[in-house]
Amino acid sequence: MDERDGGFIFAGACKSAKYTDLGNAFINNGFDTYFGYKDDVNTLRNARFYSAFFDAATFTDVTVSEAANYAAGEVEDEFGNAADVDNNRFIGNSNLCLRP
Amino acid sequence: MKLSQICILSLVLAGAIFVAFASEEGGIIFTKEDAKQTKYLDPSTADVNISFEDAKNKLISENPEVINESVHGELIDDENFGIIWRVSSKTTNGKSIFAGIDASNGEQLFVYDGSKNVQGKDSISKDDALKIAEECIESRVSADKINDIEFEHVNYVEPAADDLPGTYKISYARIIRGIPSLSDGIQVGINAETGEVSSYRKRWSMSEEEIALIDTEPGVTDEKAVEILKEYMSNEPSIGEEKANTVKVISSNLVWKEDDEDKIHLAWWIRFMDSSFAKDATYPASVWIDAHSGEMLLFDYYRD
Repeated sequence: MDERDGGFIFAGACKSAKYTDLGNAFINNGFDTYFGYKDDVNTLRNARFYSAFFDAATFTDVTVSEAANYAAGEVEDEFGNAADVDNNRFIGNSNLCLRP
Repeated sequence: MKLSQICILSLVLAGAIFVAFASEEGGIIFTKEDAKQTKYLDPSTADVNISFEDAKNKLISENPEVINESVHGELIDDENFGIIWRVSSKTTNGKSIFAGIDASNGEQLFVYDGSKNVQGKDSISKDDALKIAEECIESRVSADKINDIEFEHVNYVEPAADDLPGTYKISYARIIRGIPSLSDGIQVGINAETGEVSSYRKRWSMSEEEIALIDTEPGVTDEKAVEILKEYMSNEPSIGEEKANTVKVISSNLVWKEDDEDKIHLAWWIRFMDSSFAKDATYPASVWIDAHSGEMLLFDYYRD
């Protein structure tokens, strides 16, 4: 992996952040932030989550952590429960703004 | 980090991939321009009562940590909230706030306040969090609407990062003709280390007129709905009869649910697991079946 000057990884898959070593590998190679799930995630809820997440996170000054909270709210509205997408982890800078 | 420098990748893990990539070498794949164009409205021609200045003032008045000069806003036709001002700002403690203001009456429909999503020294109990959430709702919602909501659940969500606090996420459902709405209601996030309200969200979009025309007595029993589920799973090549026969129902409840075309249905919401789930699996599958026609509205089963 080439050294980068910043960047954001969205790993939308089951247990993609159960352990921190994969995320840390990206951070150690110059990425700002890695996002993943600590446990299983349902396909439809994940799809709704990342759609809402990037909708919010690409709005000016919205941090990735607040975008994730917003996206979990959208999932809760649509599916009645957002426990799986809520069980997420940011490695690196959780205060990153994709559009500062 | 400038937008042009943003690189958003996804990993192929357990068969799932999501990639959003932007760099100087490659084109931006995921951009706002890719979204449905009609979502974004022109404030100079849109027929709304609330101007951007009004929305900005609302954000500032309700959220004292906002830095006035940094407020951004856009008028959008949101699929869930209708026409709203979506506003954001930096906050005095270096975080950000993101909110939705109703463009017809100025009500703050949702707010995600990063300035309150910070670590603290206290440990808030679940009961205290519920009390704080109730006080939050009483201060924001009219008495008649409070009578129309019912407590659904409270989940403690562990910190998502080393520098973030745990959060109690508390959910209230809107009750219409004695039956909860799946989508409408109020969600409140309470910082579990400071007791502050870090997020608030109120959705109230279902039409009572439309629901008034639907019989609240189900024509399909929940047992029959489970049979429909098993039959569907049996006929799905990726599932099959063997797994379908292991379905274990965790709960079944009647709810009001909108379909993809925003039509409201009285539906059985069945939460279940089968033999493909680990014994200690935390998150069950769900299915929604029309309680009159038996039509399957949504099958929420597969995992990434």
